[in-house]
Amino acid sequence: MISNYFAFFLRVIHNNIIKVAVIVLMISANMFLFVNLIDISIKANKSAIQYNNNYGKTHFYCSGDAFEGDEFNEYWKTDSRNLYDKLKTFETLLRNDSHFSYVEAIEQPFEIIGMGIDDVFLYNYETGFGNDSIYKIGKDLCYCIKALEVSSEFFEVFDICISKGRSFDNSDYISNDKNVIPVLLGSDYSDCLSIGDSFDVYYMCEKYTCNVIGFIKEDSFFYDNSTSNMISCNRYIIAPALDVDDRTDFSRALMDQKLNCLICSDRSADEVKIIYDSLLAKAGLDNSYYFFNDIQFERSNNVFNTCSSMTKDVAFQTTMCSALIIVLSCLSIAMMICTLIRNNRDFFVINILFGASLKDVVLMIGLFVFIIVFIADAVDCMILHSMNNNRLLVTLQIMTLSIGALIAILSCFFFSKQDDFLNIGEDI
Amino acid sequence: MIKLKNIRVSYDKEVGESEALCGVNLEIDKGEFLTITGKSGCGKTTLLKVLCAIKKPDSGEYFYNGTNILSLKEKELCRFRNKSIGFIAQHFALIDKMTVYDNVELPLKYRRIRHAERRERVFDALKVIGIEQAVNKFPHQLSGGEKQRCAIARVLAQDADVILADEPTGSLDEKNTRNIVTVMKRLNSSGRTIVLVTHDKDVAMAGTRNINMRDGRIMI
Repeated sequence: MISNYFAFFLRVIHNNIIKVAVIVLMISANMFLFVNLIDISIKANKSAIQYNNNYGKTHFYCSGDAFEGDEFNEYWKTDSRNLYDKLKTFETLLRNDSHFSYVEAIEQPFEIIGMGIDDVFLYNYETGFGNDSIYKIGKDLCYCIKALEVSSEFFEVFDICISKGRSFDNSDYISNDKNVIPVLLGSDYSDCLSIGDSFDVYYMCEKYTCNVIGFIKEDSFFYDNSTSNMISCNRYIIAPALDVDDRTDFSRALMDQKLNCLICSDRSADEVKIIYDSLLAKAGLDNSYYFFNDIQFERSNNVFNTCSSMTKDVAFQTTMCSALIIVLSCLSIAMMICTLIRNNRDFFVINILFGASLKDVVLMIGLFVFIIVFIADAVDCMILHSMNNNRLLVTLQIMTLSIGALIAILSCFFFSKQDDFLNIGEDI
Repeated sequence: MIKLKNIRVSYDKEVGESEALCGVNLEIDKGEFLTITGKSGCGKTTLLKVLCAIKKPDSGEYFYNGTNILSLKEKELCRFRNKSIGFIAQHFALIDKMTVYDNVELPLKYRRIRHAERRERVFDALKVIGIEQAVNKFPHQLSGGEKQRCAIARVLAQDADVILADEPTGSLDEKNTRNIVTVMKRLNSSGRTIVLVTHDKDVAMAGTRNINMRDGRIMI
């Protein structure tokens, strides 16, 4: 009996090989497109939720220095320990305050020594002046590349994950005598560097060796205070914001940077400003040295809101497009299958004449649809397997079962609606 | 054996409803060889469709050995078509991508008979009809006469009590027509009831009774 069901499939294949091939390709292409759209939609939804979780209730403010000329000169005097200590105290107070998170994400280019690097990593690449980032320091040819110094809060606030290797641990934030800095690389670096690789850099005029300890997950973003934009980490080197307390020029420069960072809190700007000013006073400083920026907050908050709403819009539009595509595809494929089946109606009529029931006919159609959906699925599986996308493979299998069932039901429905189903006058 | 009472069948044509059978009353006895003649469109084929239970009449009654066929459920109707009714069509009704063997075996598969018995019955039927040499051929490799013999072998293997033949010689030349008529006569003489629709007067003469149809009615 089963052989009769297969006989129908073989007959259709034999008589309509091109039509069947087109249907298989259509199903395959639609399923491939659909699983990808679903994937994008899920990602976009996740991002929207993530944005909401990260930034929905959190307000971003920033702290900035307001050094005047004389104060600035005093700060750089090697014997001005008093001001340095005040800044250090202020930084410690900011970091330890329980009312907000103090996030250090400082853009500080590294100058890679003697190692050719792709233009996309150069500091000025995005502005079109990438060549300006290649120059000599002494005898060394240096490539000035995009880099970021971050504190541990950076990973929490921007939900930055590691795709390979490890993240920074507490000891990585402490400067060591060997001048070795552990670094994390953006995903675009994965083609040219690996975990364990080392390279020399000039970092704030000091020579350091960077040791690659991991890679940042692709398409991770951070908020750049200077441009009020969300920036991708893909082309960045991420270094720990080192804690150097030797009162050298290097440590003074670092300290100055550490106090030009983001403050994240669910409290209002007025509330945080009061806390900020109290910490400033506690450290023996006043508003002439550092200021709390709530104008920046308004701008940044809008950026986050825009990002969040854009992501939600994209998610919604993608879902709608996916739904529309799948409905139209299923209808058109079902109609093509119905035509094929109708063209081979005599097969069913002969079978019915000799004892087949309508259930047998439905099973023949079902098996036919199942096989062509299965072939289309196999094609997609091979493509996804070659792309190493196992997550989409699982989604595809679920989709295949759903689409196959939907097409089979639609085909059977259309076919059973033919009033002249058993009109054998011309068929035999 | 077969009793039709006041059978009415109408088709919805685009222009309007047209009646194919207008209150047909017919009794067919067991072992009878009934031939039905009439012009095209007079309702002969519709009558056969009703007899093999693939067309439900709008009204009337259909009894087969006392059983009301029109009251049977789908499953019972399938069994009725499979066991009691054999059908021979003008264009042979063979499945083109199946061999002669597979075509003849088709009704036996739906009867869920064991493979060995199916095989035996298929070869017996092919031998009786005389086309056992074509067992592995496909329909397109057969002549018109061989195709019709294959269709008759299928009915023979099916071992149906009633054989309905819709213009079985309509696509054949004279020699093959004579052969098929001979085979039909032989089947009738072995006890099978035959209802044969034809345009050919000579073929109609082969039956034990002939009825003529006109405008959906049986003329006396």
